[in-house]
Amino acid sequence: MKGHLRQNQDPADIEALILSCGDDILRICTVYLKDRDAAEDAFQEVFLKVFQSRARFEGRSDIKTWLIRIAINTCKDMLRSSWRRHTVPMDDVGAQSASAYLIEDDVLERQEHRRVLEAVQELPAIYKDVVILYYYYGYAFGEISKILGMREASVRSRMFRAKALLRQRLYREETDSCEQRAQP
Amino acid sequence: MNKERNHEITKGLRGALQSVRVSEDLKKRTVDRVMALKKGERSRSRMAAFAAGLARHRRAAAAVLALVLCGGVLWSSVGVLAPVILEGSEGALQVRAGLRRFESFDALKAQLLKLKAMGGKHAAGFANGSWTADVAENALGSQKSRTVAPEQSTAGGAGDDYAKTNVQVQGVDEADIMRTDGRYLYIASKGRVAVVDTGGDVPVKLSEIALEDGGSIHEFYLLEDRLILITTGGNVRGVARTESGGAAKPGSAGKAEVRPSQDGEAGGGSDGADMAPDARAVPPAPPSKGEDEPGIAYASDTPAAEPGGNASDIGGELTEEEQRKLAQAKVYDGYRYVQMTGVRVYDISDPSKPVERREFSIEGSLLSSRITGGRLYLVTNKYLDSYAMGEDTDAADILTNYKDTAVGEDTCLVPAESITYLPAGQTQNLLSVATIDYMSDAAANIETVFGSGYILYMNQTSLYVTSAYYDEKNYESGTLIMKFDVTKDGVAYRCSAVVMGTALNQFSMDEHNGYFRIAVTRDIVSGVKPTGAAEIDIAIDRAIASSSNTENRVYVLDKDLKLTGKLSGIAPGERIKSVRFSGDVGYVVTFVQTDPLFVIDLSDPSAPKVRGELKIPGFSQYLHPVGDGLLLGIGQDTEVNEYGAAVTKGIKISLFDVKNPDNPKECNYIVIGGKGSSAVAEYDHRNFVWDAGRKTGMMTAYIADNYNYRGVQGLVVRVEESAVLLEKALNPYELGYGSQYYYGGYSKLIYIGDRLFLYDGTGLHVYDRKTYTHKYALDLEKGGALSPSAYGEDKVYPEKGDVRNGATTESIAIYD
Repeated sequence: MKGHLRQNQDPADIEALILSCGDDILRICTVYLKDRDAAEDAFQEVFLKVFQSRARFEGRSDIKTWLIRIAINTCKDMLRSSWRRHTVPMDDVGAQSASAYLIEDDVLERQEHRRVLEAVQELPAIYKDVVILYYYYGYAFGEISKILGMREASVRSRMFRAKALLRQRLYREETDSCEQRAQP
Repeated sequence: MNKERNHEITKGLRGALQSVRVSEDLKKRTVDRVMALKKGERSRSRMAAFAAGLARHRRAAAAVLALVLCGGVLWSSVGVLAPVILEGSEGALQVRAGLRRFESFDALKAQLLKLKAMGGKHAAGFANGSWTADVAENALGSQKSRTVAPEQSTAGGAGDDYAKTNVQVQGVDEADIMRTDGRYLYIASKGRVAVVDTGGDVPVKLSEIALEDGGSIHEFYLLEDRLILITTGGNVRGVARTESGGAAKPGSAGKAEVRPSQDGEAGGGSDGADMAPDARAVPPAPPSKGEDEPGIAYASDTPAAEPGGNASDIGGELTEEEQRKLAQAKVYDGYRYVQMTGVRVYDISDPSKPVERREFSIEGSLLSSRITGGRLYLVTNKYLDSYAMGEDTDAADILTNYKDTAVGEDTCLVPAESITYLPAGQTQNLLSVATIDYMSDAAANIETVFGSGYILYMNQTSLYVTSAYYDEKNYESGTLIMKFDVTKDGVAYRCSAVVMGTALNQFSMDEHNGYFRIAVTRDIVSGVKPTGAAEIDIAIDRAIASSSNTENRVYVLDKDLKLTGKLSGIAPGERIKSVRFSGDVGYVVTFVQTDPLFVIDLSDPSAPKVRGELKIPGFSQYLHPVGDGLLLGIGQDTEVNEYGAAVTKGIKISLFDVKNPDNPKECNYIVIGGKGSSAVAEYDHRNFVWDAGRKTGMMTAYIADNYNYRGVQGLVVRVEESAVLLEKALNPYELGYGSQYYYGGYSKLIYIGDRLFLYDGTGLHVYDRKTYTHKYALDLEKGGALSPSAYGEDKVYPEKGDVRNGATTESIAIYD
């Protein structure tokens, strides 16, 4: 549902924005913050910020990409701040996040999907940005570089690194020691 | 990654997330919160009017202190009286640390084991985040400060017409990578120092200094007849073990004997490559030759220190205890390999034959250094890995190794009893300030604090180190300021304080007339409760209203770091990009999408205030006063793309007229290079050279055009009739020198008389100062003329829009 419809959306009309973009925003928050409560907190923060900074949205781009930027920045801020450290230890989180939204479907497929989600959730924040935009949203490098405000070359090199990390995690591939050291 | 796997990831991600939906309840909660905000907006404008009235009564408000005392833990083994935190009504915390030192090594070890037990909770001494109510007086009140006369740090030479290092404080020298005395030129290049004689028609390489232990020369000081190097890395042998039992004898300076190396030179030798020995391989062997050394317990003698020799028998996972011991056993072959930061004093009365006179080195990483009053002050951090500690941990594992040839050839340990316990220091680090009298053979004085440091600011009487401070209660980042007095013997810790917000660099702070000023950016976590002080709440509201939840502050503290004055709410939503304090005035540049330059009036320490503001696109990262009420700014030009992100698009050099503090103006600006360009001076003030006589500035920059490399260039700018002009861009790359793979970090442009010397990281280029013609290129490694690019590159000047073989312009430096 891209295109003129959303561009004309009023940033002050939060309810309409939640209806059209809410799910995707909540999904981004889930990838960053893993557990459901934290993701929902982040979700609210995002829309608060959207409302408060609505004057800055000049309508030159699709409002959704503007929302995505705010969501990514909000999630990263929350990851930085301390209260995050008091939440659930990492190990349980994958299971919790999946089960919180459980719906009954093919068990094997669900496990496979969860494996992918967990692998992405384990990535350092700077790689998460590009991976979400590339794999989930399907944006091209040029668009990603504009959304994140970084050089296309940086986007490429981050995707390269992210793919190596994902390969290792998902497909147990040997990587050379350089890339292993690159993991923080 | 092949197509199939790409598709799998996409499918997996989308599949896993497809069940994530916004519930009606979440939607309602979110909308309700936004509605509450809408209502709040209406009341904000009224609060603004109220606050204007409040500002006039700031003095009265500042006099009210809220004392916050909490119950807490008394560390009996450490003998420390925990400090009182005094909270100024405007949010600066004053931490009065009892000037306590650890009673013994065991006390320090106990402290570290407690840290480990807290499992990563970084608050040393915080326990439950509480403190005792005992008030501890500053025990150093009786220390006399040593008054020192300002010192000329560079040799006069014949004539004075040459570039000096751009230092922050007059009379306090800073290290640099390229310096001259008017005739001889010294350059730190590729870990060594080259000595060049510029007296003749062409420069000639006279000599070179390299370190025998494999370390590298980071930067240096040039004084009359003395070259003082700051070194890092190197393969140095430290203290293996102290007497078994672990305690360093008090009063013995913690010195443990180290058996001299069997293969000759200490610190050198064939195993230079083995910096991080794999302790898993073999238990360290006892000395195979020579007599038994009394009092030294070698690793294999004490059962506790034996690494998990049975791991292979078990054939499986090591126990936690075994893992810990492996991490701890850095001792190999009876020695410990430590990373040291060093100082080397060379006699250069004859520049062609530098002679080493003294060496001092200390374990840890370099923070910074200064020279003033005839002494060198070296500040270093040593990280203590509490994970690797256990009850059997030896003193030599924890205490800082150091070596001072003025005292002896052996490596010693800084004793635990000399370490000041700073409860507010939250990290597991030992911060050391070593004072070295480089002209004499007096032993170095080492002052150590249990805490860490990030930024150093020093004037002639005081030394300040700041580090990050985390306020767990309010989830905010602050800055811990530690003040040391310069004394007859060295430095002595005096006091500390915490301010809320983070400082950018050394220019964010300044001492003037006894008052310490610091400018910080405060990141506010939304949801923080109003404090009740209307002014702060307004600042918070405005900050949250922007999308970046920040506001900026200037704090003024007195000589005991007590809060005197504060200015908050500067440019909410923006971050500080550069600061310059200059007597009674401070200039602060903040940025989100436009760059306001704020002029702050500091003439009344209790009431700093904003006088004038100028809003322009782009931002300055370094500000330099150039006289006549003019300020030069070096930074970036920016534009906002359609997605709302501010992107940089070239180097911007601006000239500001700040004669009228209420109305700063931008005279003009020049933009150099395109996207991807940056001037080294933006990050390193020492790269900037200002020739006041000719009103000319020089610097080097990495120039790119839409990320296509155009060379590491020397820029010459001139200020004339209230305008800044680009005189010349010197580009050796155009002539075939240099490489696109060099990012310019180690480069500098200086003048000596009527010649310009440009070091671009790959060679030394000489230009005529009047005609800007390239005269000569010196090969700093081999001596003699430098031949054009050895990298086999296409020397044709790239066309606009040309991308070179997909090479990224991330920082890649290629060294041979």
